[in-house]
Amino acid sequence: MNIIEAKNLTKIYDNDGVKTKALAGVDFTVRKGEFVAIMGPSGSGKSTLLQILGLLDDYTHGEYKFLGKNIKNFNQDEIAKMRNEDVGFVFQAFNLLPKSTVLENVKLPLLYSDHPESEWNALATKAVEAVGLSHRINFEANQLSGGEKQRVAIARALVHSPAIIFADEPTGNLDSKSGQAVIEIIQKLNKEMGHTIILITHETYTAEYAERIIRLHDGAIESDKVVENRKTDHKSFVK
Amino acid sequence: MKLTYSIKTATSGLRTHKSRSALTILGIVIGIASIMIVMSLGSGAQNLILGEIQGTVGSKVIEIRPGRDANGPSDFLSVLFSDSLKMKDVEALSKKSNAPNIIGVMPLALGSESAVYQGETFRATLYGMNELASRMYNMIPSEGRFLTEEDVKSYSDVAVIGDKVKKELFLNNEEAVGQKIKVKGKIFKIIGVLPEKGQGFISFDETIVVPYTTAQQYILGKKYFQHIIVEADLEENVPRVVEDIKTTLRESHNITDPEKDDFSVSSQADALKMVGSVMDALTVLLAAVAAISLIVGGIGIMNIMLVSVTERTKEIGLRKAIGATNKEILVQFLLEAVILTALGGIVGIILGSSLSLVTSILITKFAGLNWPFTFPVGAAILGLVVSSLVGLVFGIYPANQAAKKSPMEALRYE
Repeated sequence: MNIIEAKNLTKIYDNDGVKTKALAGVDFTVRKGEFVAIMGPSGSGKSTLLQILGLLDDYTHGEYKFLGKNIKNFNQDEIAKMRNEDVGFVFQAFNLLPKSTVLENVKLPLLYSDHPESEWNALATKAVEAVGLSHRINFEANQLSGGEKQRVAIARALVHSPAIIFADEPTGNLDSKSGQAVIEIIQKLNKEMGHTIILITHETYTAEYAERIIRLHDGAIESDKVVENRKTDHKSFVK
Repeated sequence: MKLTYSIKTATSGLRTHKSRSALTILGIVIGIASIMIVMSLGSGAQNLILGEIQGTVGSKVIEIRPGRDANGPSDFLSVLFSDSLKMKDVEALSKKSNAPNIIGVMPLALGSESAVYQGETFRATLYGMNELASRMYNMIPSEGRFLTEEDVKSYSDVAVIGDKVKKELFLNNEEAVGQKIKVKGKIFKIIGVLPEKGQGFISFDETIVVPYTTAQQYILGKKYFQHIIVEADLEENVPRVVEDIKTTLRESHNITDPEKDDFSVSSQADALKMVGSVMDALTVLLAAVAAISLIVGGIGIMNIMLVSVTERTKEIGLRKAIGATNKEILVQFLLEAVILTALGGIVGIILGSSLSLVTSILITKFAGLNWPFTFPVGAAILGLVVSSLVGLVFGIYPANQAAKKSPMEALRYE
């Protein structure tokens, strides 16, 4: 089953009449259970692509089917619901609520969901366990280290078992050791738990944890290759 | 998202900025507190005045004054110099055939005279009354006795004095009953002393009461009365008695056109009604002034909420990214504003009523007035509703700004 089907996706920004083409017709498909890395220099359109794929932004031309559904046919509230149920995000800047505890942060997507309240704590606790932070569960987010914060963000992204997780430069704000731990957790989510993951990064050594790398240049796909020497051994992670 | 969670989210948002939240609601606190104080003190003052009137003047007592109801300066002057109430009116009113429900008629002659006792002088209010005053105005002497019918008939030179008069004239706290004082050259024997009433709107502490016959004949030298006081048999008959009085006096004064009445009649109910409406108008006016601070407070809330929305742009973006709809963001920020102002309202109600309680205790203790504290339940409910409304009205714009943010723009915001 295809999670993502993009055909000729185009995005043109219009700033006071100045038109900038951020995506110039992108075609690709992501199947369930895949771990895809999207790479490219800054300005290549990788962030724009992630925003469109993650249902955060609109596209100008083309067609985007998410879980087989054409996105153009849904209104804002329905798209918000899809984001809530089927999409998990991990951002470079973590974006946790600093004064809330780890558990509360992880529970946040459930607040906006249809999950019965009685299950919230169990689901959130399970997600926190999955990223190995059970011992920090009642800490406030601002008491954690950067690596721990990103692991909380990962737990938040997978708390309601979304169809796909988008990770936007998840190691970008971390030192090499924490970054390695984070990318290994992301790989583990894919390999052991079967989560579909799209990773955005500009670091080749991070991208090589994925099974497929799509390279963007000037808003178009330059290459789409399977990773040959896929990294799984943390010793090879050098920054 | 369920409302309980929206409320939890909103309160945790407020708790994150405790001191800012506290400062923000200060305007609302002050506004609601001042309304509470005005309402509470207003009704306290009203109760005090009404209580004094009711406690002193019986509800069956009706007052007749010379002249029309004063409607302008010329009317007012005509009242001052009016001599329309005479002895024949008192006699006419006393006839059962004219007014069957009247059980007592008392003419009242007033003056301000100096009383002298062994070189001590005190300027007192002189009341020429009859024996009925004791019942009508609750004048029960603490020492000696009150005037009798016999005293009035025989132009007796006896006087009942107020507590202050006694204290001013009899310096060594000696026995006053039986002593003689001089008023306008005439010697009066003191037969009674009235108990201390304290400061108030109606007090007889500075009064000398003598038979009205004696007062007219020897002191005031007038043939007319400043008031005639009438007592009805039953409270429910008061309106009928008022009509009987008017008919009787018109006949006695040969008046056919009620517009040309040279007297006015007012019952205690009228007096109570007038005091009530004056106090109400005053209270509403003051409360309206206090309400202005609520508007100012509301603008303050809007200001801070706008700052808060900008500051939390990233949080809004995150919430939207993980599935919050525009409506859920709107509700969150609107609830924050409403909870803030409602909280301000509650604090204001508590602050305002405690201040009025303290005020009423202080007034009772130091001014000697019986100032009852009333908790204005109506004002409290109104205050809570109004403060929540202020939050709703001034919170909608910032909340809408928050809801409109695109998740992408919001996440990128630094």
